[in-house]
Amino acid sequence: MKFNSLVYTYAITKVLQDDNQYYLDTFSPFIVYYFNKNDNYKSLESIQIWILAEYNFKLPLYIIKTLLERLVSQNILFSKGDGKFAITELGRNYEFKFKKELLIEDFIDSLIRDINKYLNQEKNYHIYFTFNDLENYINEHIDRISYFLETRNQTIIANKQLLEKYLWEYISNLESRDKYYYHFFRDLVLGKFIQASFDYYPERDDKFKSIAYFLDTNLLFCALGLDFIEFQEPVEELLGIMRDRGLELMFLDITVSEAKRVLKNCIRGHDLYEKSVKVNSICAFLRNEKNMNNDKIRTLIKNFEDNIREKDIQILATGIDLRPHSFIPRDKKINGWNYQV
Amino acid sequence: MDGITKYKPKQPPVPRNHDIAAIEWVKSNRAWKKVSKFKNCRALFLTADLRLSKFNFEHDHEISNTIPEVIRARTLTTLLWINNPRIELSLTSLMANCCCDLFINPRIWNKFLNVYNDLERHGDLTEDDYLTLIYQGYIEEFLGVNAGQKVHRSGGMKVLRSINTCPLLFH
Repeated sequence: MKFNSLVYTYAITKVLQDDNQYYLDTFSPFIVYYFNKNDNYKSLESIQIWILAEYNFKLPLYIIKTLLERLVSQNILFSKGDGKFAITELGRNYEFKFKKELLIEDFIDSLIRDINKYLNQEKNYHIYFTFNDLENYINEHIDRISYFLETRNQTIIANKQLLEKYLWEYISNLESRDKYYYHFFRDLVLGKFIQASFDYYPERDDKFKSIAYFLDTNLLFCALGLDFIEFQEPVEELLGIMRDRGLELMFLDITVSEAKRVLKNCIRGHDLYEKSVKVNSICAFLRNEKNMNNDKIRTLIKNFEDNIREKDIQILATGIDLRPHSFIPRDKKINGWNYQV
Repeated sequence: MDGITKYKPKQPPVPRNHDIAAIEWVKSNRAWKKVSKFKNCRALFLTADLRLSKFNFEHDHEISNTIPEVIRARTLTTLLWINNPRIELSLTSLMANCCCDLFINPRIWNKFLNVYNDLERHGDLTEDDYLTLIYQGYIEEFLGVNAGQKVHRSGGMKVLRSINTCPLLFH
């Protein structure tokens, strides 16, 4: 395969961004489909499960969240509040823009028939040419094909193989032979570019491996299962992706101290959280969802570092004292209040 | 009011110190230098706190177009995933779904071919160029930067600059 993965992925991303679109937008149709097929939106996870079942790939929850927000800004979905979404009239009509897979398959069949007719009847070259052969040919000659599609320059034929020569002749004359086939072939080539940009390139993760990742308090609570499921799941998924790609996760000791301080505050504010009201806070979660009393929270604090290490996450000692009388930022302009020195 | 208190006015002193200390920890890892390439990043502080990441970006990195010390969990998910999605999707399914908007827009197609062929000819694209491009593309989205206020595109993006100035591409 002669595809230069970096170049075509860069080119797709660049062109889309210049057109005020994002590479991620190529996945929006799956979300719109979900809302066209499912009347009641339940959660980010329900979309993820549906796409996995229908198309056999997993979109991360954070990506789904971003796509939902983008579709709202495009008036294809609307927010019903409380994290719920529904499809608009525009979204219902959006489906008609999609090509049906059966239609694509019909086009492919007729294109392959036309190629076979050209080779067998017009060139007297007897072969049963398949779609797989065509895909291989596109992969092998992607540079020449893309250059031709851009410039219509047909003067660079230098094929040694007869089949390749005939195929090149077919492609370079396709526009005059049949405009529909030509446009479809062009779409097929773009499809191959996008398909190849989805492939797995282990070396692409290397850049991220040289970075040390320190997680904030809010992620620490999620990593330990101490936050509401809607916050916890996307974070757990991210941590899974990071581990899967060999990235090292760490907590600064000051972050662990800060998290423990939040838990200690939960002990002091034990009567603040009514079960009937869902409050978006760690303390409310511990009290109402985990049914933790003060003793349980004290035990949680006591075992906090051990729980972190059980998750296979390191704690890095910084030696920083965060107390107001001790902490003096080096970069004073970062702050906006008077320090207590 | 200035600095982090502008972004998080109700934050008590100790958690505020934590946020600042975390930013400074990453800065010290980067030898107190601003970096514009991921390969020089060394460390990142990962958060779900939009206000903290926005403060760090707007305060220290928006003008210099450098990579912040603080990055949102959502942004990192996008970067990691777009960089290497690992999806196997049939060409027919992909053409029917992912590409539906692209295919009805020949202008996009022609631009794509143009950029692709131009990059192939130059041959000096690096992974950092690509990472920087996707990062720049999404940073505004994730930080909720004011509409119309574009992030400066400079620093470490030689290929991008060469494309932007190519008269053929954006007429």
